[in-house]
Amino acid sequence: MKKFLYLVLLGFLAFPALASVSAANLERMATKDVIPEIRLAGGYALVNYYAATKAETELLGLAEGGATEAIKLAASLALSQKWVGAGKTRDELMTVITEGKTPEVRAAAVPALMELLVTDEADALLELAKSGATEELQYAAGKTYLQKIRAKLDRVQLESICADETLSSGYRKAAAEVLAGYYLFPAQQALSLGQLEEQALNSANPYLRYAAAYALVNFLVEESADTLYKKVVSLFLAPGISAEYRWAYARALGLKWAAGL
Amino acid sequence: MKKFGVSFLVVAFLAGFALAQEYKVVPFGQGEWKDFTVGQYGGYLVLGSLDNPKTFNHHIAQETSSTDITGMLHAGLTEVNPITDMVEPGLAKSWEISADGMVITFHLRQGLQWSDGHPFTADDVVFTFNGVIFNEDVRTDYRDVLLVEGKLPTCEKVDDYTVRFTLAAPFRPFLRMIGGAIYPAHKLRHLSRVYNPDADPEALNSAWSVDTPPEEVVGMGPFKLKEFIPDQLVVIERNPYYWKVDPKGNRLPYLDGIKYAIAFSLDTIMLKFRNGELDVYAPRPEDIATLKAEAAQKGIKIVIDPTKPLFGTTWIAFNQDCPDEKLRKYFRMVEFRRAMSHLVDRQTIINNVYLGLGVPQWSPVSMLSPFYYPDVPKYDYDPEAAGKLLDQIGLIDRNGDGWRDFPDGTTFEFELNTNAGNTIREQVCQIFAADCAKVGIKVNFNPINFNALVTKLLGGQYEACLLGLTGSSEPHGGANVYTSCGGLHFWKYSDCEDPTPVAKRIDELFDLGVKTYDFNEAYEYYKEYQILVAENLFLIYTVNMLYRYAYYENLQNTAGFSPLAGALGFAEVLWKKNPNMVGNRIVG
Repeated sequence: MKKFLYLVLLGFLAFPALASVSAANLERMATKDVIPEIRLAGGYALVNYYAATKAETELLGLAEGGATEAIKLAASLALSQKWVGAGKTRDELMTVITEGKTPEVRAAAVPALMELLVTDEADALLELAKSGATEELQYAAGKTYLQKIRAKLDRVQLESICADETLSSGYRKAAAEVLAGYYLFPAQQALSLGQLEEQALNSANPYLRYAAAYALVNFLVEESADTLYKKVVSLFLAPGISAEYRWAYARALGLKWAAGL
Repeated sequence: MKKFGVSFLVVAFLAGFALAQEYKVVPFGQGEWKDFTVGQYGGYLVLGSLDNPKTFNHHIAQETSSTDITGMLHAGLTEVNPITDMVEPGLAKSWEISADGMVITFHLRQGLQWSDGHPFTADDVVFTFNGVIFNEDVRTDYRDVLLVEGKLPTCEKVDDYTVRFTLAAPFRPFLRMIGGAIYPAHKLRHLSRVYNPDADPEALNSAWSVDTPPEEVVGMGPFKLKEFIPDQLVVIERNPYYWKVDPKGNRLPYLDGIKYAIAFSLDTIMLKFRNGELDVYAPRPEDIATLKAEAAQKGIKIVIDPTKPLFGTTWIAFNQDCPDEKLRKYFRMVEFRRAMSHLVDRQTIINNVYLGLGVPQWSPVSMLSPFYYPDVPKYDYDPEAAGKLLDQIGLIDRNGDGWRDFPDGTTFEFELNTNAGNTIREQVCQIFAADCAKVGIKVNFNPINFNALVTKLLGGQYEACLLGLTGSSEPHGGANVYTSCGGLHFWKYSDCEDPTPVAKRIDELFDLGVKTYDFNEAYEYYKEYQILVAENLFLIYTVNMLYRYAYYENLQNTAGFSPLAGALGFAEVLWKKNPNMVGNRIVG
């Protein structure tokens, strides 16, 4: 009975958001929705709106002290858009990525820093990926390193990086995102939707779950926003669903909402 | 009276000018343009470039870092439709060809203006050919492609909007070749010694260098030069006088311009694309997985079109003049070559070597050419059929060692070369050699240095080799390979002295194909040529790499992107759903 009431309540709360996608609705969801993944989807959907309407200092403030993780995320991704190609020096970006007050501020420096790291030697990048001062720096170096050696990569290597608990979390996250591509291409070796869902739900390794979830987003965006919304709600109510699987649906929903903004 | 006269002249001039503007309408929504839509103005297309341009002088430029830009600044008498690859009217609205095919008269569009507003007339065309292209002072390769039987055509003005070319012999590709950039006489005539004997012989070669003020570089193309910041950026902007319109009468292009972001490595360019700093990118096979992973989250569209392989071919050749007499006998047998074709496992090659990004190639003509004939005979992978053919010609295992033997009992074996270091070709050779072994054919695979391989090939000193040839949509480009005395007729140079009936017929077909201006008639000649080549397997074609392209979904009218024209071929019709976005980023 309690669960039924909760469902009714969720349905009621959700209705205005589904009726129309607006920045105000998205901000309200990203701030106040009771379901973390709905908040997250709202945050993803706000990125371009924030990039178009907010100044760098405002975004920096939100990435540091936004009301929720979702608002911080939206500000972080919008800030990263502004910093790409903006002429920030390597030192400036390294300072942000190592000393930024929140993970979201540090993450905002990743794309711009990667463009400067890409000319580094592969060995130096690997070292930075393994032992960078912050997870965000490990991740930036790891993604750059893996792009640099991509012609020699294969799925097995990437899965072994994901599974290796001695490696840094940032590097393993980078490997998981690259691995997602090998779950989709080449077509002859690609995982099916069912296989991706199974891995995103049940793999014992969180990075392998994340890799599958990251790939899964490419399928989920084919669904309607309404379908995705209902699925996110149902996943919230179901016990034992992996965080990575729930993230995939939230990410896809955020993309659909962003497209309608 | 004087005042009246002046006013009348102005009115007459303006009225006449307005009435006479003969724009070209690009028919979006119809025919080959059916998937294209009327767009909205605004925004810059941002592309990556691997180097600085070295010149803005199109006829001098030789590197793509220059020609990718200069190609946008100019237009020609004819142009090639980027979707169909067919020749269409450009600055010339029509043309007539004399009955003997030697005289081509072009009628120019009236009322057009250069990017600086100056009127465009026949004087510009005559200046371009007589004063620039045919001028020996000018170091341009363009002159070479206009040679017909070793002679340049003549170009003369008939009236302000009519020019006439006279050829030494009929030459069908002329209409395609004559579409080179027309230069503005009012800007450059004084630099040509044809018109100004006092001009410096180097003046036209050094004209429009990268230091030239952008407004001095004048053209009839969709864009004009705006800015060049060395090592950083080239910007071209919409030509306000461009002569094409959409079906609603909106003047093209839709984009405000194109920015070429200069980076000096493909890794950087790929990263810039992934970061949303570029709108389009041509990924390599190893890039695809990375981009696929991010595609949905970043709004990237990845086009891998199985119907559009790249130009060029990869093949295995058996030297029918090979020094080894015993091998030569078999290499000359069509049954042997068909057996070899049956041993090329094209699907495995596509799957394992090209990561799925390939298609089987069967014809010497590129699949994208309008002359391509798809239904040629095909001798596809079939080891059993290969074995039967080999048995039929007497290549059997006579001593039970697992290898087929010559009639004298010695093992039938040949050396297969390719250029060392080309990992794709090396893998294809290994797959082929392994399949040959399965039916008892011993292949000694030996990759060698590229220059050494070319020397062996052109000297007729090889046994078998796997290599590639570049290609284009024009089948006559294959004349140096397939005509019996062609310089690249490397599988049987003896055809030149003693042509087989098939070789003689191919010579005839090439001759007929180039001397008619009737596409359908030419198509029939090239169709027969393709059938003959496929039946006789002078070269055994393998697999061709597929066309691949990636772009952000904000970009519209991308339906025609293809190896024929890439993204730039459609620059004048592209538009952005959100003009304030580059890639997936809001920039304005």
